[in-house]
Amino acid sequence: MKNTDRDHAPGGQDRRLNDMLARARDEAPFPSALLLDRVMQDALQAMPDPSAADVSRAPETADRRGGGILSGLWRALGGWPAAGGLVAATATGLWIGVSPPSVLDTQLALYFGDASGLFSLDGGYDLAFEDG
Amino acid sequence: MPLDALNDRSDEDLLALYAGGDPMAARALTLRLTPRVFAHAARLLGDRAEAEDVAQEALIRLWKIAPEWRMGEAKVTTWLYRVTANLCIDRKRRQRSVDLETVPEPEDGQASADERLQEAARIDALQAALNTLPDRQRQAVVLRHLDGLGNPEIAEIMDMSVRAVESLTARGKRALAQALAGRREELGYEEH
Repeated sequence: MKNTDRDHAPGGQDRRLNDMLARARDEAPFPSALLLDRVMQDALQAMPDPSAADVSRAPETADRRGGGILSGLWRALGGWPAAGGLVAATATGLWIGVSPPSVLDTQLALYFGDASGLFSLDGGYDLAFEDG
Repeated sequence: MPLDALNDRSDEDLLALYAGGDPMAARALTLRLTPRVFAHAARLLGDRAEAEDVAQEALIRLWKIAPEWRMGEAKVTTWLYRVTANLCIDRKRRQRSVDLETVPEPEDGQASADERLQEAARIDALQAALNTLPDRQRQAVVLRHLDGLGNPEIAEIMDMSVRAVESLTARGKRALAQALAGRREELGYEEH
């Protein structure tokens, strides 16, 4: 393409330069697919891993709590979440012992026979085992 | 998070997601920033292979700094343009400057017949002329006229006043025009 340039003054020179700059701007160099792939691989490789970050912060948190042997044992046993489960199981066992459901009486009677005979103080204890 | 949903997020938001371990943010940032960084490096260096290395290195630095990025202090692109320019200047210092005359000239007769060839020749000539400018002038001209940034952002990237940027850009353009003056006819700008 030939551009006719009748203007020898600096204004003509500016127009030519602006024209070249505008065309160069429109035709920006574009990265190859290979470069995009390399950059993506770098990004994934350098990307912080949130779970790893938690592990790395864990000792710092423990230190801030001023942990000793007992607190270390407490955390090793699972801390408060594990204690919650333990308390619930203990309470359930205690409740069953204090006030057993009627179905439990029936099942125990079927398995051991008459419970009153099993715990009788008049010699029924020995008899119960002899009966097998 | 789907890639489409990330298109409207700012670079800074994406970088925060990336720092939180979101691979889709990594992909979105790669696709968004690599072309800009590469184009800037290619224009400063005038060499695709070197520009690819610089772009990759600049982005590696971004990935590494992501967990410590402080929101609201700087734009990601401003930081990247600065890092890219510094990497380019380091490389330029190590390589010999490219002489304007080494750019291949279009063959006689063929140039007027093939517009694309002439277009490419003009872009090559402009790049060669850019390569002759001092580093700071070239950086200012590329940021202003090829990357299309405003003077305040250029001032931040180059760590100088807006007035100094205006002056540097004006001097750069004059130097470019002078470097290209001798090639006016060959590039298809006829005088009558």
